[in-house]
Amino acid sequence: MREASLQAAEHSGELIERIAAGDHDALQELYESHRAPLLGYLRVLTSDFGLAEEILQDVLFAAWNGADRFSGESSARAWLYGIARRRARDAMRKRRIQFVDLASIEHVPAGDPEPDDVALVNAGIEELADAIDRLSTVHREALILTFVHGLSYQELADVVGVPVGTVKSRLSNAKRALGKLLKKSDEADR
Amino acid sequence: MTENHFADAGLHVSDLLPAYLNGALSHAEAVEVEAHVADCDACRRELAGWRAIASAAQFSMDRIERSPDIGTAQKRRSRGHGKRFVGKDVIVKSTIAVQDESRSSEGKPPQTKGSLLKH
Repeated sequence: MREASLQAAEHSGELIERIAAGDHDALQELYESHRAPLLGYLRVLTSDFGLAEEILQDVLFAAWNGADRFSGESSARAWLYGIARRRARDAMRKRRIQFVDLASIEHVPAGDPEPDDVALVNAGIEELADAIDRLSTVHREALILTFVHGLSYQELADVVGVPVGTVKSRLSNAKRALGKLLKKSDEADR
Repeated sequence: MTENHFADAGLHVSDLLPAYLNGALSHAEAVEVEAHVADCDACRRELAGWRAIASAAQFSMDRIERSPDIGTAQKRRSRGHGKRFVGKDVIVKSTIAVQDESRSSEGKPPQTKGSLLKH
């Protein structure tokens, strides 16, 4: 899986180089290979299909325009997701939609228990998915980019613009938040 | 037998478990994680928790993708917000057309492969 992912990343990097050189076919190829995952990511961020489609088109414009500035320091995929995230943030700000609830991200109240892994395992997949849908955007984003899109910690850090250590704690906090949501839901059912 | 550096150092592998599950670790790191998890109940429980989360994250995403929310897209179009909500071929072609025009009007020289990594 890692080998395939590295090959795909290398190919995307080549596509961006070709786009920087004005290769129209490369743009088409980049669009076709990244459209579905980028759209999925944008829908996680915006919860709005129409807006996600619009932002995706902005991402394409930005990729065409900025390909010559791609330095290769981050992976091509992280570069594209980073553009998507910034475009989503700008579009949502314009529409006065809250983008991320920053206040709730990094701060974890002291004394919060470690997540109950047994509860996570015993929860039905649908119940757990419902809990993921109720997480803050940044926690949901971290889980989706890691487990659905397969981004590495470094790629996730590049997309979100935080250090790798923060990515790790964000994932851990997302897991803890899921444990709390399951517990609440369990208590409500009693 | 694989050396278990994490166990030797008295460390758990919690931080590495999501990366282990999504295949982002190197082969050597993955082998070390497996060796540690085989001997450590706490990390084995944690891995099971992450595995459940990974499956649920995929389930959640599949559910989002299965619900196209066409109504929202149509509403946006009818209000004039979705003027660029068109077929993929048109999107790519219009991107190219607009940007080619802007590149040539700015007198921007075409980018070359060689110049790409200099920035």
